[in-house]
Order: sequence, then structure tokens, then C-alpha cells
Amino acid sequence: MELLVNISKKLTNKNSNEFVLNAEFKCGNEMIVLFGPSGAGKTLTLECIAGLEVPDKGCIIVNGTTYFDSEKRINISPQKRNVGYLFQNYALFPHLTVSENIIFGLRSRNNVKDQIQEMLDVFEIHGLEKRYPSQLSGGQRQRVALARALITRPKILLLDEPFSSLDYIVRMRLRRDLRKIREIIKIPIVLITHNPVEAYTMADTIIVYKHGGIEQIASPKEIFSKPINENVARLVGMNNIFKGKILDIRIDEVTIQSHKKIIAPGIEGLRIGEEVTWCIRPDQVMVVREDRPLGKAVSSNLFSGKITEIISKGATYLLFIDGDFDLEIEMPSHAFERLDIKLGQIIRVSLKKSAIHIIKE
Amino acid sequence: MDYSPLVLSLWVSVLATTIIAIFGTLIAYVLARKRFLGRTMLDAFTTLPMILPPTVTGYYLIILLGRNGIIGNYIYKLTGLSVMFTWQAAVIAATVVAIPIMIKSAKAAIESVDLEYEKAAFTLGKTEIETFFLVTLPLAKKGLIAGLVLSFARALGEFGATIMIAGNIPGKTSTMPLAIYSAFQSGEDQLAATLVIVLTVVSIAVIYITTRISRTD
Repeated sequence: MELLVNISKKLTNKNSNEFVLNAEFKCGNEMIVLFGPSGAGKTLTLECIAGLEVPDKGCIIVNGTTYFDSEKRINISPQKRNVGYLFQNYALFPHLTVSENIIFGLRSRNNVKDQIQEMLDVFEIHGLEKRYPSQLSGGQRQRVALARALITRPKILLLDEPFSSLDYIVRMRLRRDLRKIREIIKIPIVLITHNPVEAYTMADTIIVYKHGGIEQIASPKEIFSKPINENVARLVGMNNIFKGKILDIRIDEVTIQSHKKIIAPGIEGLRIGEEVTWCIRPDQVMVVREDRPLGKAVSSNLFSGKITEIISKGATYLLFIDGDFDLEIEMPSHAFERLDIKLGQIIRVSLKKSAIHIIKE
Repeated sequence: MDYSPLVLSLWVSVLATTIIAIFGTLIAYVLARKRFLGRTMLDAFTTLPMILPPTVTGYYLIILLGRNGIIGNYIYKLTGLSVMFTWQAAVIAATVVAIPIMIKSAKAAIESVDLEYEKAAFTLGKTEIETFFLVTLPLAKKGLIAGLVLSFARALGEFGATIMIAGNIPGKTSTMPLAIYSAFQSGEDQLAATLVIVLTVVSIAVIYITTRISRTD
């Protein structure tokens, strides 16, 4: 394992509110995304890895080097950890030029020119060397900050909300840059985001944070299709969440009694009579056309409801219906327009069986 | 005309400002960046000379530095000398009275430097001292210079504490504000007026410089 974190830290603010961070995870040379709402302890975790904050207890090991171990009384200073840290606002030194910023962390003054040149090439920021950070665009600042962090050949790269203040095109660019970085240096990259899409597209492994604790560690696909609990389900946008009781168990499917009966794929270890939570993504709720025969996939779990709200998101529409189940539905705009859906209309929907996810209590 | 008050005042103020530049900035950095027991006490204590009447500050300095004073006593025993009624005493008086202005101004300037810059320097391998000189100091430069200019002006105009511990010995400890007082008392209106004009011009220059510094980016 290239990165092993097992730390706890208690913070008390001015109003003596307590915040407790308990984080435990390990990973290899991969892209790890710390995902969760703000105030969940993601930045604190990065700061502990970098040595800018000291955990109360636990240990942090990077690439075989113990950065921190409360039992062995090891706490390497941030200066000696050799961590590449990209701060949320990049923290480029405003009084230094781009090239002065980039070489700031270099110890030896040998081959400085070649090393700057390499960074300029990797991040395609030629011609900016003599500019000051205030004369750069947001995307350029970020690339300079990445160059500054990587020129020292860090053992690990930590990125705090790298996408948050960038527009769409620059985000795409950053994604490409990060992929490029991974080809050049094989180190763990830990990235913070509260955006589910960024988490899904960037991560090899997602670590879901909430209230200072870790809820789930898994691949993006797993997190988004099989959230471990209601918190994670909400964070990944699985917004249709209901309670129910197991009524019947067959080989590959179970029947759940909620307001109405619902058929779901079977999972290990369920008992008849057990209370469960089940959920389905808004984009997996199918609106059924009355004039068409039903396909096999949508023939079960048919319900109806009245449309109470319609929100356009551009490429997709969100519909909210009240009925057998109060549901949120996300559908492509072309489908929405073809169906000629109106507010107040009663529609039939199918909850696709294979898309239903059961969370055990 | 006797230029000695002008020369003495400049000498005393330049020395005091140099001491203030070093210790004022250091104390300001500690107050701005460190969390320790007694921090509020230190903050209050270093502000005190700004609030106290200068003669009161002078009185305390006598208790501290006088021949029988808490520190002065040792100095006298060791060297047979006393700092009282020397130009060095004028430097001490000017330093003590003017340093709070520097501390206040420098503390605000250092606090306004985003901590992220210092954290970034740490992760890039720079020690706290290197970070101070390479990052914090340059970024707080404006406030530090403004604080120094104001401190210089305050030192130049110091009267109360100076007369208490340095006296008003012509040619030796009689700085400009003291010389103005003496000249006025002895009816040398011409001299008093000249010195007043010199101090006024310097003060206006100081205000001009500080506003220029705080305006330009």
C-alpha cells in the first residue's frame, strides 16, 4: 500500500462545538477521491497527510515512510514530508513571477532551467514565465500551482477542490492534465470534491465522507449503484428512498411491502419480515407511454402519480410526482418533449427492477 | 543656529526605528501567528506605552533603569555607569513609546497575509524562518513600512518619557521637542519657531508617505 491513513482528531471551535474526524483508509498509486459535503473533514484529512495539522492519534504512512505515528511519537515536519499540495485557491505567491513560483520548492539550483522547461512543457504554460499570478487566468494559475507542486517530485499529490472554481472547458483541461501527471509519476493522488460527477469520472476509488467519518470506500460504479446507506444514497443523487418490509424471497428476486408491493433483485442475507430501505436513481424511473405495449424490463413495478413540479436542467428534465410513491424522475429533454408532459397530469411510471437497490438496516 | 537638537533627534529616531523594526516585527509576528498562554497579556502589555501618558512611561523606565532601578542597579554595579541622562536613554524612551505603533500596524499586516501562503511554503520545504523572509515579510511589506514611518514620526516627537529619563541637557540629550520647549521658555522665539517648522514639515512628509504606501498596490 502506498498510502495508509488511520487518524482521529477532535476540534473545538469558539462556540465549543465539537467536530471529530475519524478516517481510516489505504490505497495504492491510484486516484483517490474524497467525496462528501463541505465540513465533513476532507480538507482536514489532507492537511493531516501534509503535516499542516497534527492528528490526536493514529498513523499516516506514505510509500513506506511513516509521516505520523502517535504511538511511536513520530511526526515528520511538513517541510520534510515531500508532499505536493494544491490549495483550493492555489496559494501562488503574488509577489513572485510564474517561474519564481515554480522553482520555489527546489532545493538544488542545478538544472533549474531544464526542470522549469519540463514543467512548462507538461502543463503547456510557455510564455507565462515572467508574469505575476494576478496576470493569469484561473486555469493558468492552477497549472502553475500544479507545476510548483510537482517540480519537487513529491511522494504523494494532494488536491483540495481543484475543480470548484473552474469553468467547464478548464475542468476538462484539468482532467486531461491529471491523467498526464499519472502517466509521468506513479504516486497516489488524493483529490477532494463535493461534486458527484467529478468524483465519478476522476476516481479509481471514492471515499465518502460525512460528519467527520467515512461512510463507504469503493469504486465509483459501486458507490453510485450500491450506496451502503441512506447518507451515501443521497450524496450520490439516489434521491428516491423508501422504507419497506421483506414479504417474499425467491431465487433472484424479493418482494418488498411499502405503500405498495415492489419487486427488487435479491441480495444475500435477507429474511422475510426484515425492515429494509430501498432506493432508485431518478434517471432509472421510466415514464410509461400509454399507447405502447410494455417491454419486459418495465412490465413490473408499475405505479402512477400526479406531476407536481417540472424543472428543466437543460439536457434533462426533473419531474416530481405524488402518487403511489412520491418520486423524482430525471429524463432526457427529447423524451420529455415527445411525451408532451404537463404539470398536474397523471402519468404511469415503471421502477425498473434491476435498478432497485436494497439497503439493509 | 545650533543644529545639535536636529542632528540628535534624527540620530535618536533612526536608532529607535531600527530597534523597533527588528523587535516590533518579531513581537507582531508572534502575536499574529502564535497561540500561547499569555498572548493577550503580551498584546496588552506592548500596547500600554501607547495609552499611558509618556511621563508615566518615563517614570516606570526610571524604576527599571535608574541607578537604583531593577535593571539599572545591575548595570551600575557591573560597569559603574548609568544609562540615565544620556542620549542612549533618549533612544530607549523613543523606542518604548513608539514601538506599540509598529506592533499594531505590523500585526494587522501579518494577519492579513493568508495562512495558505505560509502553508504552501511549508509543504514546499521551507522552514518557518525561510517562510517568514521569503513569503510573509514581502506580502506584509506595505503595512510594515507604514508602521515604521509612523513609529519614526512618533520617536521624533517624543517628549514626556525622554525628559524623565534623559533630561534636557543642551547638546547631549536635548532633542528637538525638548529644545522647542526650552527655547520657548527662555524667550528664543525665533529658534522655537524654526524647530516647530522643521517638525511640522517632517510630520506632513510622514503622513504623505504613509498615505502613498497604503494607496498603491
